[in-house]
Amino acid sequence: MKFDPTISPDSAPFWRGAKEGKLLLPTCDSGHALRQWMPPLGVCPQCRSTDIGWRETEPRGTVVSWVVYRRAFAPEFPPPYTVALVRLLRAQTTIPVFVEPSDGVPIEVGSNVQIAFRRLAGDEFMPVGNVITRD
Amino acid sequence: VEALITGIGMTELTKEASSGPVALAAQAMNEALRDAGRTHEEIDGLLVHIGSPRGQDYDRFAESLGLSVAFASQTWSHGRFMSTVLTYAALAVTNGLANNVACIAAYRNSSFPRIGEPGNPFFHEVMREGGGPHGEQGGLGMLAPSGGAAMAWRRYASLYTADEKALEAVAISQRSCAVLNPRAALRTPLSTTDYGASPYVVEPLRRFDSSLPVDGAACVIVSRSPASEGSTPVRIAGFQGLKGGSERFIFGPTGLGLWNQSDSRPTIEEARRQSAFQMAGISPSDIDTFYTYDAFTPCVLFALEEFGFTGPGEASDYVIAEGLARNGRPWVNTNGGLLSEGHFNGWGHIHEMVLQVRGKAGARQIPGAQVAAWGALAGDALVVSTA
Repeated sequence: MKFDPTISPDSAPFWRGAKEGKLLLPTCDSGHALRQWMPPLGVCPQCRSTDIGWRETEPRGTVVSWVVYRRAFAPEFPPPYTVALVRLLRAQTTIPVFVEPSDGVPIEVGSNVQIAFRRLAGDEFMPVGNVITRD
Repeated sequence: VEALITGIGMTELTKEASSGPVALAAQAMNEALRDAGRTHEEIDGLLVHIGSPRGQDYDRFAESLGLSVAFASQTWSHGRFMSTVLTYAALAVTNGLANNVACIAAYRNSSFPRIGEPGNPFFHEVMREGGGPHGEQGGLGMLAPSGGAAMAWRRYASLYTADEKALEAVAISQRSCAVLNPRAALRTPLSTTDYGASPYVVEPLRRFDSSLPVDGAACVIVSRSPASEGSTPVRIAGFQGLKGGSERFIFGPTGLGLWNQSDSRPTIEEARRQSAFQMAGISPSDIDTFYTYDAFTPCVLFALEEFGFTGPGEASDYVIAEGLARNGRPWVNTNGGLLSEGHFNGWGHIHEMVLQVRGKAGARQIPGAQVAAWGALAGDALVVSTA
């Protein structure tokens, strides 16, 4: 992957979780209800604590929006490909995912998505979403 | 605040300028100083919007333009800071840091690969920890600002059953203004057929939903007082800064449910309460002509809602029914906007706002225009009025 995100010690656990196929989110419960959020940058946006932990969340959510890249911007990503923003089922935040080519279930705003991590060349992982049948 | 825009200057916006940023800036600055009735020696402040490598940095500009300034600053190397630069200038002259501040945006995009392509000067932002400033996610192939803009439009269109016809109306209205603007890069009328035939870039947005990167320069002189005679200053009547926080997305309205936004849009009454409008003593109905950061067509619809011209979710129907016209005359982004004048980060807009308030906008003139307002999805706003 040519366009890896910058990773600091604050976001590294997310990518370590990805390697094990787990959706790990930064987690804080110091003095307020349990909160999990993205992107992980080492601070709880609610209480500003930097003493945060990491917990797995259910890798499912619903599509907030989605787009299809039709023009090539870089050879590493030949079009067309789809990216969706997914609101997680059990965390108060969203995660963008690369949408796997569908087996016939069309993507819509509100579609249910199962999130996994696809291994790329080298030791890199990418969050991918698969649209599942609407409940 | 006691601050005036005393001079404006701007080059033509083109795809392949025959000069680099400093020489382009020199032309715009010469024009702005003539307009202000001032000399280079009277410029004691310098604010630069776009630095190197697209533009130049304040130190090079100052030296190469033969300036000697005591107040200089610079904002980041891409968009969204036009009204903030003018706000800094207004605060500087009001508080005695300088008497005449030259605000400069000058750059040559055609020296570089296109935005969203590796090698563009701000491509590194797609790898920014936590994601880029327009929703970019390099690892997922979300490489261009159009990706974030497309996310916002899809979400909005789904929530409000909005039609692409609204985007078409924005593109066509703004092109009709650019046709009348000799500075504009795109001066051929746009038809519904042209719009419908334009390919998707990031679906659901088409090529004609996207602005055009250009080369050029603009200079705005902000002063404490006008020169003795010959100039036509306009008043900086109100301003507010960029807003930040989880509710803000550069290409979407607040409360649309994107990223960490809530699902709660402001009401029209809340949207009408802008501190820049209050500072200027106006309400949206006093605004004769309105300008916004239209990097993509949906931004215009969202801005009409964000600044209280229509209620949430209503702008698309409004634009389909009436275009961007009042009494049959366009009143929004009358320069053609970033979409058709060329993407000059709002400097073409402020140039046009000054012309409109002076009554010098030629065929684009709104009769009797006295108040022009800028309001962008980044949250910033600026009001100029007759002095």
